[in-house]
Amino acid sequence: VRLAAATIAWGSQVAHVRVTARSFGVHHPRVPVFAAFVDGPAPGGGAVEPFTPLSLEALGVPRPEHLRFRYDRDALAYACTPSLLRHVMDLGYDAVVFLKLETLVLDRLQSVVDGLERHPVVATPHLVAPLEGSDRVARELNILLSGVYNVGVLGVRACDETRAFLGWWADRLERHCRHAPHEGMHFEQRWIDFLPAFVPGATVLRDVTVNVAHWNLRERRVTVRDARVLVDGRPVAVFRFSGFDPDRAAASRYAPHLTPDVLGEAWLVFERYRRALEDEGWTGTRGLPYAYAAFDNGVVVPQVARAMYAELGEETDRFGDPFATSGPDSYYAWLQQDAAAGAPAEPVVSRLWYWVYRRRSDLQAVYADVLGRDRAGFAGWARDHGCDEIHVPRAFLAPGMA
Amino acid sequence: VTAPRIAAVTVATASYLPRVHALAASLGRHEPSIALTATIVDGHGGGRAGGARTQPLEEAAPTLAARLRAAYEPPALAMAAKASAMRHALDAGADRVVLLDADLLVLADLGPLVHAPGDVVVVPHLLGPARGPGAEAAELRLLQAGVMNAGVVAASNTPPGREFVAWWEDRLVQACRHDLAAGVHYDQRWLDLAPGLFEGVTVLRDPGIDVAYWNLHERSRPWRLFHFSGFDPACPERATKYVPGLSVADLGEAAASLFRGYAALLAAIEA
Repeated sequence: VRLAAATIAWGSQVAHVRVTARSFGVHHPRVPVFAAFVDGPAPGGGAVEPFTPLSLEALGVPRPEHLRFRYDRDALAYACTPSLLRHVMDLGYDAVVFLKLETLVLDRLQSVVDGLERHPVVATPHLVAPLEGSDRVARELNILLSGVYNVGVLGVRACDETRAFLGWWADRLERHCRHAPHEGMHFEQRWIDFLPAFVPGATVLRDVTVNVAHWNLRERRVTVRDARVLVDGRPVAVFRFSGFDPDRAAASRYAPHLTPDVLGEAWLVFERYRRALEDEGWTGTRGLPYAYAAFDNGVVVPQVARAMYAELGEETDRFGDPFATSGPDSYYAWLQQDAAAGAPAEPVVSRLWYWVYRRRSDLQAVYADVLGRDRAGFAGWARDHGCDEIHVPRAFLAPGMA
Repeated sequence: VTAPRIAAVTVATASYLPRVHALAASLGRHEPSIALTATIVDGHGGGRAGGARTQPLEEAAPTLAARLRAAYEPPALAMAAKASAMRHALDAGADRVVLLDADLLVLADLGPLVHAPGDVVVVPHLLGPARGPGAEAAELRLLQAGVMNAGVVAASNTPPGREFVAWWEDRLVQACRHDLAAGVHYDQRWLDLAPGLFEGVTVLRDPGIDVAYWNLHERSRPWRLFHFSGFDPACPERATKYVPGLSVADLGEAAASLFRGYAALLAAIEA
């Protein structure tokens, strides 16, 4: 079996990618690691990297500039995960293990590799046993909102069933890779709740040594014996650091209550991961700019503009490059034009701000006639509160209001 | 070697007694060795509905009935009591219990379900991606409501099977409501967790089991177990109350005639 590993990130996370790739290489020395960077070729200035870099263009993502505008950095990486796996299969590998960002490999992924011998897909659930304690219902419901299976470790074998599944997943993520739990979405992850239903033979790997992470640390007893990290007495294969901030003494921004005191010996693994990040150049690379954060005039792309673009779907074809700002036909100019057709009115209530207005009943209550006599009031709200509240650059305020 | 003892259970309100009757008759025809016990949650005492034995909630769940009644009203009460009805059958000595919603009809032997390997059997709504222009929306609705369908569930009288039933019963006592923002869709979404939480969970991908308006496009014959979910015999031309505008005729000739036959059967039972 020709096996490969794959991960996807962006330039300022290159230290994380190096840690994942190098730790994987220790235990799987002859298995190549492919790392896709959604904002271009890998940074790093010619260093010998423990991975083979890939660009979004190489993955065969259709019209990558649309996806790069539609999604912010993190969501873009999530949305391109199935395309990455398909691409690595197309390079001639029989099986691919996906390792999401913030992963440290501590032992061979034997159970995953074995699973791929017999199954087209190996998925890892967040939880492998019912929870106990008074918050058991709340915690299990939280998993139902984020996804039964964790994309952190996902094995796929090259076969027709897997290709069909990855094709479907990529297709859904072109439009639906958002954080909207009440709509059934949690970026790329909830979609794979369909795995056991859609893929004959897909298997659920109930292995406590894989995907040890903040959501299951309370149930899995982690001990550290010299260099060995054990869970319930067995060597950990994959430890995940989802939401870990190396500057903070906590397991994850999603679990701020998991402090070093609470974590006990498990905290040693977080410290080890932080040191590994430092060794791999975290301090020097963490500030690398994201290449698709701003329009070509330097104005940061607000989340609102990305969401509007996603909602427009095929209609965005007429704008050409969405990051371009020159010319009256640009998306940038379109966002700034008045939402009302007809005679010009002052101050302008732009399409961008009107889109915000239509989603906010509080604003509708106060500025009922927003395209008429409430124009000035609403534009004042945008200037005094709106920009800060929803992170919109002041370049989007109406002329004369900034 | 004796054949495994299979028990079938359903939980319903008294208004569904004609459906229970129809289900019991169809089960008796195609699986004569499997008896159906119906737990009737709103007041109907012990007795029979066609071939089914009926029992009150207090008999299925003596220790939990009061809590369930305090927490839920019908029809949520019937959904919340499903796991208790399963446990009751296992406690009575069944080797495997099969939970069937009362609005199912058995059309052929249930071999693929009854003899499915594993300790727990769950059944997905869809066996592959939805199709057509509304496909993404249909899939997102299932991600909110549950990938697995709570209309058909089986558990064996083994440690993992019993563990699953005890877990589902506990969760249903606490959270069997409709609150999509919280991740709850009555009894159903809980089942999506089962393949991760328990050993020996089979996700049954059989084209004849749990055929319904939401999956007719992907199902082949024979249809073994048909689900008339949301069908109201008082409006016999509407396929389901859950999809406004979907008529029985939209489902194709074979399904349409099945719906008409089912409506006639319910009418005959009520008469």
